Formats: sequence, structure tokens, C-alpha cells
Amino acid sequence: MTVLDRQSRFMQFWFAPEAEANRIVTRVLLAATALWVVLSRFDLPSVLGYPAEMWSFVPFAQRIRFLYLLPLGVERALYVALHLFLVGALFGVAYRTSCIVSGMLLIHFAPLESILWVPNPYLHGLTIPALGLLVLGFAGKRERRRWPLRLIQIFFAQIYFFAGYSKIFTSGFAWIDASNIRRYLLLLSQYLGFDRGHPAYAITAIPILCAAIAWTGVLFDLAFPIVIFKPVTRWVMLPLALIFHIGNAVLFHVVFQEAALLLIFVNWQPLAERVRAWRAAASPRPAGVVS
Amino acid sequence: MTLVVITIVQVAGFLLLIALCLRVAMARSAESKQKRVLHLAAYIVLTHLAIGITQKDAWPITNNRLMHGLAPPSGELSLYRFYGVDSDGREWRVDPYAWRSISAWHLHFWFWVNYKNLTPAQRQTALAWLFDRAEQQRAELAAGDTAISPLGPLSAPEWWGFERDLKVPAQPYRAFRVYLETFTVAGAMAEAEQPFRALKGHLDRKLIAEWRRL
Repeated sequence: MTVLDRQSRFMQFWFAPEAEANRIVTRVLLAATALWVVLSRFDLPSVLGYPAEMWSFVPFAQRIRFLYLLPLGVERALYVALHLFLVGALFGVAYRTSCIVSGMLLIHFAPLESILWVPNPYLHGLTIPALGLLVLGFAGKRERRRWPLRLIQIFFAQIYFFAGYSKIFTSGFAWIDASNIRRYLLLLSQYLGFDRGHPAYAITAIPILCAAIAWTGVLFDLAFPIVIFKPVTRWVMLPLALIFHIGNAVLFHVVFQEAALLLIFVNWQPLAERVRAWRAAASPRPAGVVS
Repeated sequence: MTLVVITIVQVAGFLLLIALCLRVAMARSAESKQKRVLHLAAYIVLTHLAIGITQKDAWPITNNRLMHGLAPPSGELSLYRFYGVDSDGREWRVDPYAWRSISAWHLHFWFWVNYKNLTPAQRQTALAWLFDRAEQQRAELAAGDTAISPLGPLSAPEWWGFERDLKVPAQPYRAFRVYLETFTVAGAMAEAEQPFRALKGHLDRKLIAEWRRL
């Protein structure tokens, strides 16, 4: 492959036209995921009303970082506004404003869930929607090229990659050991309140299964970004991701609220065209009417 | 001072992201927009790589680490657990979703790190407030309302799927207790060899705090 070929492929990677259906589905998934989480954490601004004693170890620098300086009433009003902007983003109403403002408000509110301990609310369902909506908003409704979706796919894929990397970085290859998984299964099940009848306990009795879980999990995590570069791998990786998350939820009790965003890797255009064809067939124009 | 510097860097990193996004939005020609998109993409990819590889934090750009440590080889794990006490002196474990806006996981770590550093008066204030939250949820659960949000059963669960504790007394709580409960792998294994027995017997429990309604 020549340098020119490489350059052309690079530009295609970012700037090839993107199907309208994929752009719409991505926006809807991001807004719907965020809306689902904020509706489920309906009282999130109340964290700002927690007693001063509970906030006493949150450094003022972090309050400034996330702009937690307004009265509680104003924050509650902003939280209601967040819901409205997310609905706007969901339906593409006032596209740019809805996406940018909801993205910014998500970045403002999301850390409240964890700030009493750490100011890093990753993996709580709002990180990718916040970044994704910002990118879509700044790209604008008229952007027909691929780059906004590509960036969102990168945001998403790196979750897996760095989840795998962090295990090796922190614990070395001892992490990929049957005994480690066995201890995790036992301790997490007890930690989170599950009794002997839970399936995690049955797995701990089978060391080879524990080892398989460890190896498969880490290899899957590290390999996931391939879906960005080789679309054909999505046929394998996306179902595997689904199994991975179901396994995590059942055995390790880890719920990944952003799992629906796996659908941003699906090409929706053929389905959209088929639906359009069905619609056209279902509502034939009356004879004699000329458009 | 270090924290202030880190915070400034984190804020600057985010503002730069927004500035690069704005540059894209304000581009006047297709050629200029393309160039600015590539700058934005390079920034996003490089910052994610930098944060991910170094395992630092600059949320919303983050390291995404998860279960990255080894499960404690000594086989010990401790958790702060919260109990309401009814008028008969019986303890009821407070449902992990009682705190509404923060998870039981975060409250556990708040206790772990901060509670010991509070003055006795501050501790009482914090406990009284937690008691109120627990009591508020007890009344809801006693009335049959188990939903964690207006979405009812469709609500998004917490990241850590704590098992819920929906049994509550009909009468209000009289006191609130916090225990540090310790689990051991050895204990779990011993219990696991006895099929279908509730895994509660091997807990070490230490009373950390108590608040009583006057």
C-alpha cells in the first residue's frame, strides 16, 4: 500500500459520508441512555443539599471545577432543564442547542453521584452520553460525514480497552488467574449481599471456568477496539459484548448502564431502507395523483 | 497546592476540548473544518491514551479502570453497612437504594475515608441526616412503594448491583447503626461447602456508630 493509499484510507476513516440512519440512531441512543439514567437518579441535585459535614472533605477546588456554586433551587431547575434538553436531543429539536447544553449539564451533574468520595463518575452511565452529545452538537445537524460517529465509537471502545489494560497495569498477570476470579466471585457476592443460592458460588467450584473467565474477559477487553477499524469483526464482538455484560451482571453484579450504546456499531441504513420500502408499499398513492 | 494544580490541569484539559469543538463549529470552509476536525480527533485520541495509560483521571476523560486490583489475597473485605433499629430493638438492614442520589458503595467509601475525621458533633449531624433518609425510605417501603425512581421497575440500577433489602418494620425506626462488616474468603469457602445455607454466619461485625431518636 502506497503512502497515498494510506492517506486516502485515513481520510475515508474520518470523512466518508455516514448514513443518515446511523447518525439518527447514535443521537437517539445517547440521549435515551442519558435520559434513562437521569430519570432514575431523579433526586441527584439533592446531594448539594447534604449536610455540610458530608461535604467537608470535598475540596473547594472540586466545587469550582464542576461549578457547584449555585443555590440548590437553581440546581434543581437546571436538572429539570437537563431533562428537557435531553428530550430535545432525542427528537432532534433545536439540534445543536439541545445536544450541547445537555452534554454540558451532564458534565455538571454526573459527578454528584460520586463526589463525596471521588470526583470521577465514570461507568455510571453518563460519561459517553455527555461526550457524545457534545461532539454531535458541535458537529451540527448538517454534518453528513463520519467523524462525529467515529469519535463516539472511540469514546466507547476505549472503555473496554482500558478496563483490560488497567488490570494488567495494576496487578500484572496475576490478575488472570483462576484463584483471583474465584476470590472476586466469592467476595463480591457476599459483599453485595447475595446468598449461597447465587450462581456465582457454583462457578467458584470449577477452577478451569474461573481461568476461562479471566482470560476471556481481559482478551475481549483489549481486543474490542478492533470493531472501529474492522467492521466485519462486529459480527463476533458485539454478541460477545452482550454475553460479557450479562455475565458481569449475573456473576460479578456489575451493571453497565451504557450497554445499549453497543448499537452505535451497527449499520442501520439497510434496515432504514427496508422500512422506507415497506412504508411506500403499504401506502400506495391513489391512482391519478401526480406528485 | 498539588490538588489545586491538578484541578487546574483537569479544567484546562476540558476547556481545551470545548475550544477545539468550537473551532470545528466555527470553521468557514470545508478545508478548514476538515483540518480542525483532525486536530480535535488527535486531541481526543491522545488525551484518552495519556489518561488511560497513566491511569490518571480528568473526567469526562477517564481511565475506565474496573476491578483492576487483585481480590484481597488475605481474603478479607470490609463494608460499612447501615441498620435501622425498631422500637423492639430489632435491627433491619437499610436498603442500599435508601440514599437516593448516591449509591451504598459511595456512602461506604465516604465512611471509610471521612467519618473518622469528623468531630463528635459533626458525626451526630451526619448520622441524623442518614437516619432521616433511611426512615423516609422505610415509610415508603412499608407502604409498598419499592421503586427507586419514577420509572419504577424500569429504573437504571446502580453500577454495583447490591441485593435489595425490602423488609422493613411497620413502625418508625428509633435508632440508626453503622457496622463495619468483614467478609473472608476462608469463611465463604467454609460456608460454600454447606449447600444452600445463607452466607451470613461468618461475618465479623463491629459497631462503628449509633444515633438515637430522642
